[in-house]
Amino acid sequence: MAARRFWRNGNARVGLGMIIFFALIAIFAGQIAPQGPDQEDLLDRLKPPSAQHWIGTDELGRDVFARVLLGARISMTVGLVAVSGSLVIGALLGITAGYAGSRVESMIMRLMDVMLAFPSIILAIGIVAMRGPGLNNTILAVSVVNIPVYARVARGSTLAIKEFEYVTAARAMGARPWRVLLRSILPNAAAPLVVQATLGVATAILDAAGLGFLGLGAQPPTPEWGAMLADAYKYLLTAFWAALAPGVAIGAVVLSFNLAGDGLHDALDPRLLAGR
Amino acid sequence: MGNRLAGVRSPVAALVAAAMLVMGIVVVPGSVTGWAAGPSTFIWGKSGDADTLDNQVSSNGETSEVTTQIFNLLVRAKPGQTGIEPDLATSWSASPDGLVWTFKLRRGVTFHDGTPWNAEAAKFNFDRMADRNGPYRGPKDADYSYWDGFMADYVKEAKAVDPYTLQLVMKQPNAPLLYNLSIMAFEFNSPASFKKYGGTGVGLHPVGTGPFKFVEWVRDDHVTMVANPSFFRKGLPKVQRLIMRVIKDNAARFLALKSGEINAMEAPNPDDVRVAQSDPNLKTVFRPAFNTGYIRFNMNDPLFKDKRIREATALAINRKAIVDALYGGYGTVANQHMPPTMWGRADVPPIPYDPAKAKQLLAEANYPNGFSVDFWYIPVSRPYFPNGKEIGTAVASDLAKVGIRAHLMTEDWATYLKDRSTNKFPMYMIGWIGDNGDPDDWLGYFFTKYDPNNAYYSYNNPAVFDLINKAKLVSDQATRAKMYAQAESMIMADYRDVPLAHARVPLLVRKNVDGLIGQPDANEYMELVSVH
Repeated sequence: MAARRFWRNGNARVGLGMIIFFALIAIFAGQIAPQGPDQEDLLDRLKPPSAQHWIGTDELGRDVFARVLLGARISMTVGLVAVSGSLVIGALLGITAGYAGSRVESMIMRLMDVMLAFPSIILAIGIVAMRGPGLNNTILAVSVVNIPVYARVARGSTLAIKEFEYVTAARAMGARPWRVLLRSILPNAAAPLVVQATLGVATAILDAAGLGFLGLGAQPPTPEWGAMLADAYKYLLTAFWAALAPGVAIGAVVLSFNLAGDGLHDALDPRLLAGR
Repeated sequence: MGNRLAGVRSPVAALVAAAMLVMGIVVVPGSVTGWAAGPSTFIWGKSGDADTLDNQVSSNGETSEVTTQIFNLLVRAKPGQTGIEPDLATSWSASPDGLVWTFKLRRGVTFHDGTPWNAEAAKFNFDRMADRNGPYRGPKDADYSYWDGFMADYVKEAKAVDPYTLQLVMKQPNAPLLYNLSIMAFEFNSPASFKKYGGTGVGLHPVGTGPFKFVEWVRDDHVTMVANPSFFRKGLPKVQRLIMRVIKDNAARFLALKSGEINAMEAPNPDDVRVAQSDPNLKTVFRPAFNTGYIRFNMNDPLFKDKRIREATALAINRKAIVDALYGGYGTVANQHMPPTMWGRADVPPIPYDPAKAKQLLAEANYPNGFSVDFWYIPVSRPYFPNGKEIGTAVASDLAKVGIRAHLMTEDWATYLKDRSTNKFPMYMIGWIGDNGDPDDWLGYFFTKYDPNNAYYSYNNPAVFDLINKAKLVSDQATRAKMYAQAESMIMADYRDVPLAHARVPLLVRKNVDGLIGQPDANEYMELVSVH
C-alpha cells in the first residue's frame, strides 16, 4: 500500500533512482574511475575537461572525475553509518523516555534539548576539535549531533502509542517493559523514524562535507567532497570545474535523499492521504 | 593594548563619543574621503595593523613596516639587500678581543621633536631595553624578545664616550652584532618622548629621526605620516605624505589597488599576481627570497636516526616539480638552509630526484616495502610554503611512490608551533624567514644544541655545534663564512633536513609609482618611493 503510494510520487521516484545511481557509483567507483584518485601529475594541474580527464584536473593535477566518484563512496558511507548510529541511539533513548515518563523522561529529554540548543555544525566542530580531525571522528560527530532529532521523534510516537489498547494488553499479560518497548512500541513508531532517517542522511552528508570544507573532516589526500571543494574554490576563477564537480555532487546526493524522504513521508503518513 | 583605549567607561564619555562621531560625520568627509592618491602622497596597502609603534617592544612585522619609516638604526640593511650600510652610525670598529665596539655617530641629526641625536640618546635607548626594572620599561606584556634573543647575553653596557661616540661593552664577543643591530627592534626613540609620554605612551606617539614624522594612527585603519624636512639623507623622502592603510583581506586590498585607492600593496593572492601581470596599470616588484621552507626529521625518532632513511626520503621527493608547479613562479629549489642572498653558504651538490636509489636505500635499511609515518604539514600560508596543504600532499604522493606511506596530519597553527618543539611530529614541514643578513641567524638557532625531547633540536652533531659557536666569536667575515659553509656541508651530508624552496615575495605596485624596492626583511624604505 505504502510502496504503491511512494511509487506514484514522481519526485520520490527520481529521488530513489538517484540514490540507487549514487549507491552503484559508490560500490563500483574503483572499477569505473579512469585512474587512481590520488594519482598526481604536477605538470597537468588545473587543466580543463578533456578526453583524458572528463572533468579536468585539480590543483595537483589529479583527475577530478575519479576523485568525485571515489568521493561518493566516502559521502554515502559517512551518511549511512552516521545516521544508523544516531538512529539506533536516538530511538532507544526516545522510546525509553516516552514509555518511562516522569524523571527518566525529563532527564533524557532535557539532555536532548541542551544538544538541540547548539546549531548542529557547531556541536560537530566542537566534537571534532576535541577528538582531532579525520573521517572516523567526522562520523562520530555527525552521529552524535543528530541523536536528539531521533530521540524526539521516537518519544513523540511513543507517547501516543503507549496509550493504545494493545500496549495495555501486553502490559496486563505481564510483559516486561523492554519487551513492550521493542515488540509493541518500536515497530509502530518506526514509520516516522524511517522518514526522518532518510532525510537525515542528507543532513549528515551535508554536515560531513561542511566539516571537510573546514579542514576538520577527512584529511588529504582523501577525496572527500567537502575537502575537495575547500581546496578548489581558490581556483574558481581559473579552474571552476575542480570546485563545481564536488559541489554539484553534494547537491545531487542531498537532493536525492530529500526527495526520497519527502516521498516516504507522504507515503507513510495516512493523515496526509486522508486530507487529499 | 589597544582595547584599553577603545573602552568607553561612562555614559558621559559614551555621549561625548557619540557626539564626536556625529560631528565627525558632518565635518570630516572632505579629508577622509580624500584617499585618492595625489602625486605628493603614497598610500601603501598593509595586510594587518601594527600592535604598537614602539618597535623595541614588538616582534611584529606589521609594526616594523611602519616604524622603519619613522625611526633609524645604528646600521641598516642596504636597499634590496641583506648587507649593512651606515644609518645613525657613520663608522664603527671592534677591539681586537671583540669586547668593545665603538660607533661614530652621525652629526647634526635631530629627532622629530627637535631634540638632538647623540651618544646620550643612544645610550638612553640601550638602557631602556636592557634594564628590566627601568622607569620606561613599557606595558607589562611588552615583548622584548629581540633584545632578549639577540643582545641580552652579549651587551654589558652602552657608554657615551663623547657626544658622538658610543661604545658597546660586551660580556662576550659576538660577531653577528652588527647585523643584529640592523633589526628594526633596535631603533632609537627620542629620550624626550619617553619623558613626555612614558614607557607605554611612546607606542602611540613615536618620535624618531626617520624620513617621515608620525601624524596619526587609527587602529585597524591607517597610519598617516608626513615628510621630515630635516631628514639627514638629503633629497629624501620623495613624497610629502605617507599613508599606510590596513586592508586585511587580500582580495579587497587588491581591488583597492586596481581602483587606484592605494598605490601599492603587499601579500597579494598568487592568482591576483597573475591578473596584475596582465593589467597595464600595475607592475610587480619582488622582495628577494629570504626564506627557506624545509621538511624536518625528528631525529629523536628511532626511524629517522638511520641516515639511509633520511636520505631515501630526500631522494624520493621531486622537489623541482613541486616548486615549479606550486610556487606561482616565485620559488627556487633550495639545497641548503640559507638562500642565495646570504654569505657563508656551502658549496653542496643539489639533492637529486632519484626514486630508484631511494628504494635501494630503504631496502638496505631493512625497509624493502617502505614504512608508514605521520607527516605534518603547516595549516597556513607562509612565504616559504605558499600552500602547506598542497605542498604536503604533493610530497606525500612522491613518497608513496617509493613505499613511504606518509599520513598527512595538521592542527591549528598556534598548536603546531608549540608541538614542533616536542617529539610529537616524526616528520614535518617548517621554515625560516631571515631576521638579518648574518648566517648565525640561520644556523645558530638550530644547530648549536641537542635536546632529546625536542624535534627542533633533535640533530646531535657536536662538531657542527662547535663550528657554529666558534664562528660567532671570530670577527673576520671571510673566516666566518668558511666556518658556516663547512658546518652546513656537514649538516647537509647528514640529510638533517630536506630543504624544499626559497621563495620571492611579490608586491604589486601601480605604474605611476617608482623607487619601491622589496626588502628581504619586508621593511621597505618608503623614503625612496616617488609617485607621478
